[in-house]
Amino acid sequence: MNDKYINLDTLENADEETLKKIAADCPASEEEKEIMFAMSRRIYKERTKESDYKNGMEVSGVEVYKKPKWHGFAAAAAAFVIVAGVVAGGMLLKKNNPVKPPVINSRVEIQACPIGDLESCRMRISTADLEPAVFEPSDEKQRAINKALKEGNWDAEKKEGFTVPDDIVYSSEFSYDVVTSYNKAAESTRPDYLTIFFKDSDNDGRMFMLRLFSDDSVLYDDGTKQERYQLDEETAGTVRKNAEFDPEIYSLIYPEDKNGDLLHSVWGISTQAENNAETYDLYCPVTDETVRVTADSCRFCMGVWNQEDVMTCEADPEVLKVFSQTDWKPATREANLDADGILVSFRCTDSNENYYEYTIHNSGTAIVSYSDIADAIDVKTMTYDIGSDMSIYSSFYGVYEKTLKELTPDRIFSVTEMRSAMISRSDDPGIKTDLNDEEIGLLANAVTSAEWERLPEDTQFGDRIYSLDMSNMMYHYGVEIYSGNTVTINGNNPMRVSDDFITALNSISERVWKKQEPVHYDSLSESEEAELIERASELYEKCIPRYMGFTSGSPSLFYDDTEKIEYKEFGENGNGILIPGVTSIDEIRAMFLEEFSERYHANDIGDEYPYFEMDGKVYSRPGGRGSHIYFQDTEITEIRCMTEDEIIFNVRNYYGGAETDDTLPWVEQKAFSVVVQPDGSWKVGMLSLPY
Amino acid sequence: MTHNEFRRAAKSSLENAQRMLFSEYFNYVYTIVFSRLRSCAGREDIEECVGDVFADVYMYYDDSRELSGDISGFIGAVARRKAADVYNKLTRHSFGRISIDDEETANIEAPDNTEEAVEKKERNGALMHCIELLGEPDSTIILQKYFFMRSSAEIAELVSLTPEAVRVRCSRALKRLREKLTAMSISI
Repeated sequence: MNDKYINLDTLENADEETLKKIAADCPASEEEKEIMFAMSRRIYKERTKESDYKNGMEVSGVEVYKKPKWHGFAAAAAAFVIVAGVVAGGMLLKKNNPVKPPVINSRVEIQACPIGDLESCRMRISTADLEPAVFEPSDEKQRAINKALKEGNWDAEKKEGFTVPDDIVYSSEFSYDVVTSYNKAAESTRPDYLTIFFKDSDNDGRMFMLRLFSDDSVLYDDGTKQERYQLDEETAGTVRKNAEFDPEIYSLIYPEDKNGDLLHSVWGISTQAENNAETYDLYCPVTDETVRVTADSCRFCMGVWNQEDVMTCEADPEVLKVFSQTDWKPATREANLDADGILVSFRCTDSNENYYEYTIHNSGTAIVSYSDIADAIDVKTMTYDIGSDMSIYSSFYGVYEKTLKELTPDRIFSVTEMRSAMISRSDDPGIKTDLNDEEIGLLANAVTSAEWERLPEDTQFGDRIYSLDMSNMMYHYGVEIYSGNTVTINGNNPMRVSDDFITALNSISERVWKKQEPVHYDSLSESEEAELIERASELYEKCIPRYMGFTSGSPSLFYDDTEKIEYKEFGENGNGILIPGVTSIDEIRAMFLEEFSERYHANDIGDEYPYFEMDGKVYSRPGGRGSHIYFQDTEITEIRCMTEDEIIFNVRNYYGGAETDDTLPWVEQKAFSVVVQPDGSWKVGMLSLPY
Repeated sequence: MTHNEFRRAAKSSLENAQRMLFSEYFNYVYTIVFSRLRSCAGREDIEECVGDVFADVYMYYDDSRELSGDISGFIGAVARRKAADVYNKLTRHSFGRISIDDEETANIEAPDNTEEAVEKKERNGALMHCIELLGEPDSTIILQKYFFMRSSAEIAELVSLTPEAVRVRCSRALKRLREKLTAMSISI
């Protein structure tokens, strides 16, 4: 089963009721609807012979409907028909318009079409009314224009008639101002003109334009030179006739500015200036091709794709080499991605608007997709097994580190999401406590809106006034703030921060710590309070290893005698430790929830890890968990507050000190709660592991 | 839009009348045509077929023959016929042409009383229900992506999200849809 696709073919030819439901989600845009409406009108007119053409042309036959050029070629099968049509059409044109011998005028130099053979050229046309939009005439019209220009008379010596105004330097520079002022000047004497843009696919994409004025003079411009000619009246008339814009057939194209170059803009082609951005090789195993991409188009996330955490490869574009150095072995078995963490997500678009997506999983599974961005239906996705090769992860981690190192905190938390944070009391920087999501948002906002200035390494610091911990997905930043607004991050990186940041910290700290002040209950005597604290402390001490055991699948939790632990090998699926006496993960979850309240811990034991079911038995894949090397002690200090069925305590965790290194000791205040059961027993509520 | 309404509108402007008719039945016609041709035709063929259906309907409305009441059945029949015609041409199974004057036109819909048809209808109903349960914008994203085969960029515009967000939501919604289908024992 393909996890990334679902086949909805069953909805084809659905019943009326289902159809009407689907129709509510009809995706056609207004533009598409307009195209289809115009098409329905056109077919209707053809069938009723109610032609709107003013030029006397009449469509013959009612069944022949030729798809406009801009619709492209839908199927290869249609190619034969189209080729046949071109040949037949060409012959028809020849029959109806026998080639006339050029009229030789002895007074002026008459020459054959000086702009070369246009047969392999595509055309786009604009008029004074349509500018800056262009449209692409049908094949038939293009052929007619081509033929007229090819067979017409071009007088290269024409000096009379319209002249380019002296005060306007005509160039092919793409500037609406220039074009508009030029047109205005032209308008005063020559209200009508049209511009035909040519692109020759057989001649290295040669581009040029012809502007035809109402006196039949024409200006040729290829971006390097301009020449003027006088066309004969019949040729000019044929060109005009075939260059008419019909809103019911043609859609308008609005060119995107390509560095001021009109020709490139009309054809949507990148210019040299645009191409100046340095490009790098990107290897795609799906296509087995290497494409050139810019560093800023290569974006990645350490972990699952999260828009807030996206970075570009600009800090070290050489990282892309790792894709060509990886051994992309197609996966031979279906990966279980649900239980598999993501190490790196990478996305990129090349200059041809092809989209590449790489997702590297913890297990060594790598999923790579390739698609044309405009047509993401045809996504080619391959799953690879890159084994234990961590080079992609380590290479991107290097870019991640490099990017972050160069950034000040405001930039760091502009490109990464602040996931957790702690703040000290405003009167005691030695004790910190957690911020909730809303407060994290306030802090992140304060960090990103403050001004941060780097200071010399030998900066002297005054008294410490605040201590902060801020983490994104990968990093933890210990920020110490001293008098004079000087700051260190992780013990170095001296900086100065603007006053508004300190003001914001005062407000956030007050808000956070106010909530943690213990409530005094008159009904609770001192001894009763001490008794509750003692009972809670016993539970607290006991529950920490139990919680760690349950959530990591530790065998010691289930075996009294660890020598009797049963291991089982599952071949490619690795091995597991048999959990004795249970047949499903639900049973383990039930055991866990006997001790830990569902209010906070309902989802702590997942369906995939560390336990798995096999052959009616449950196994665990116990994973080691690191410990907090600075941890010294933890204690419940006081009752923070009580509700009808819950008592919340303040806990203090002590860290640092001489036993480890020179790190200054610090204290973290957390919450621990017990949920009182109807029978008076307690289950563990809020819990934060201290080590 | 009834025949009479069309005629009244056409008195002042035929194009406007046709536009009104088109707007009212476009989604319906497009969906019928798309659902028939999605497996074999490109978007252009589908658009052309939709244009063709409406052209036929306009012509029929020009005719003196009177159609009364809700004409969606008639338009649906034309759309199904035309789509079937294009389908046959593209898959080269048949080159026959179909006229809307055919006697069969009125009876164009597949009979829905066979056991298979009933089963399919129920299954589709349940599938649509599961998709609807995903809520917006996920239900739209799933239908656009896997039925209408629109790109993430196009869907993004439709649901006012970024293409990346669409991809992420789509993958999550797909997972949820699978869970719902499994829970209802529907295999797709």
